[in-house]
Amino acid sequence: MIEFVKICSVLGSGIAMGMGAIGSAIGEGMIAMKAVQSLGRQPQASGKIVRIMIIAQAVTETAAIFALVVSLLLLFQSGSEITLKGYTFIAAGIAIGFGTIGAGFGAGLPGSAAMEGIGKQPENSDVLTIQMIIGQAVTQTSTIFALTAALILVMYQAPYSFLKVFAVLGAGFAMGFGAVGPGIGDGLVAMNANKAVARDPQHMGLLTRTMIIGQAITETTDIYAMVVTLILIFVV
Amino acid sequence: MDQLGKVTLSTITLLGHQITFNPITFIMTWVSMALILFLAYIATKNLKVIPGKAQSIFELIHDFLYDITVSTLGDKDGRKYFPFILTLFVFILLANWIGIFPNVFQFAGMLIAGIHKVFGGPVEFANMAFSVSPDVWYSFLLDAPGIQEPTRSVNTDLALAILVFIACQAYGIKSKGLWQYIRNFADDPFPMKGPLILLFFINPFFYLNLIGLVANVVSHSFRLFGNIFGGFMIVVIVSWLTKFFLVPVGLLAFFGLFAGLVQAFVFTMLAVTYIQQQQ
Repeated sequence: MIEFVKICSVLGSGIAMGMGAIGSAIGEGMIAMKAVQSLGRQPQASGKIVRIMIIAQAVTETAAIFALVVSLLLLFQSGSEITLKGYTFIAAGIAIGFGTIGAGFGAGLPGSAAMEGIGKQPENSDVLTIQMIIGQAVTQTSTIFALTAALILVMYQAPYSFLKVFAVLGAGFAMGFGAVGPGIGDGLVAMNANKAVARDPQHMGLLTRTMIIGQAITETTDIYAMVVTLILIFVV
Repeated sequence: MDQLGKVTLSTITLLGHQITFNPITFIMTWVSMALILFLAYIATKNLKVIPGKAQSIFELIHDFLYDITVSTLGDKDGRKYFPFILTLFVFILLANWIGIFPNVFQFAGMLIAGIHKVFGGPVEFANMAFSVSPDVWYSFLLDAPGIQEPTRSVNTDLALAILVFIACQAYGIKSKGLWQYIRNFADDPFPMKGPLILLFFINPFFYLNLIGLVANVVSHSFRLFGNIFGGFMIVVIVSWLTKFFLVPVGLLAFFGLFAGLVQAFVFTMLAVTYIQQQQ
């Protein structure tokens, strides 16, 4: 007997974790790269640099943890009848797998800029850490939408039809690919905001406000993707 | 592994409606609130000008958050909103950290069941778990629910995010005035001049701003939920792979203590930033 749902869920699980590891790994590597460069320049600030590097990497890893959560949720599903359930699992894997690439890479960008700034001026590290964490957290919005869509897809139940299968798979693709660009774009905004704060810490309030407005507008494409995903899941 | 997705649910009937909720989340929320009251009592019991060890820790948290809040929101509004921000931080921090305590009741039950089995009691052992008949006096210990972080339930996170959302909107109405606050939806980012504002419904940015409001609440709450839930899943699955013989202390320290602290800070910082955006 073919265990259809099991087959689909293991495929979705693999897609989710395999794709989900790409972005965060590059992002964390970039943070460590800049941290090592900063250490070479300012060896006496090593404690501070290593501490902030670990915080930055922990926040960047969030995207990969989301992928791992969905991957593990999918790994323990089973069922043998050919239903919509299997296809929703593949779609959930695609949504979270591709959806973490942008945010993982993007969250690494402000982290690396903050590490570079701390290497130049270790006394500004508090301001830079706060700016970095806000930038990274807003950058992760796209992957959080992907996680929401993936969890909805895992829980979703509807009668089987040929149209619905493709609607659900399309929803997975819409959310997954839709989240790649905004993640990287938000990361670029946050990186340059962090560079500016490192150069000029007293204008942090203005910079943070402008950064968040810029990121919010960058994220509108991600919101389009989210709206289309929800329409594909619930309306079509 | 079967109990991974299992949630304890209770149903009550209120005014003719059936309400289903997770009692453990409820209890754990009250436990964390009691812990906060207890810590606040300890912190303020005998305040000294030269602080001792305990007082120094509380003053460190207080001063750190106070500096950030006041420097972001300004002196007057910062002072007004600081108690809210500090309460959010302390509650989320304790709610995240409470999950690192093991399930002591179940452990005691398993210990008693093991001893009972050695002396020939009616105890079955299969699949790494003891099972006893329900009329043995310690059976309730084996079924005792574990200690869960309240923040692992998406309901708590959503409630906190909605709380911040309401605080932000109230602040926005207060600082801008009601008319300017409503206008802002159509004006952002391209201002509509004079009577053009009557055509707000053809402005796509109006709808985008409205969706953006809801999207903020979703991203704010699911960021916390995803991190705490993810950490819990990783710890449970690694424990399961080692057949519960090895408790992954390092993973607990990383996901329980460190990620819990970072996520509490991220949530609070975003709350401050959302409030500041309404200025």
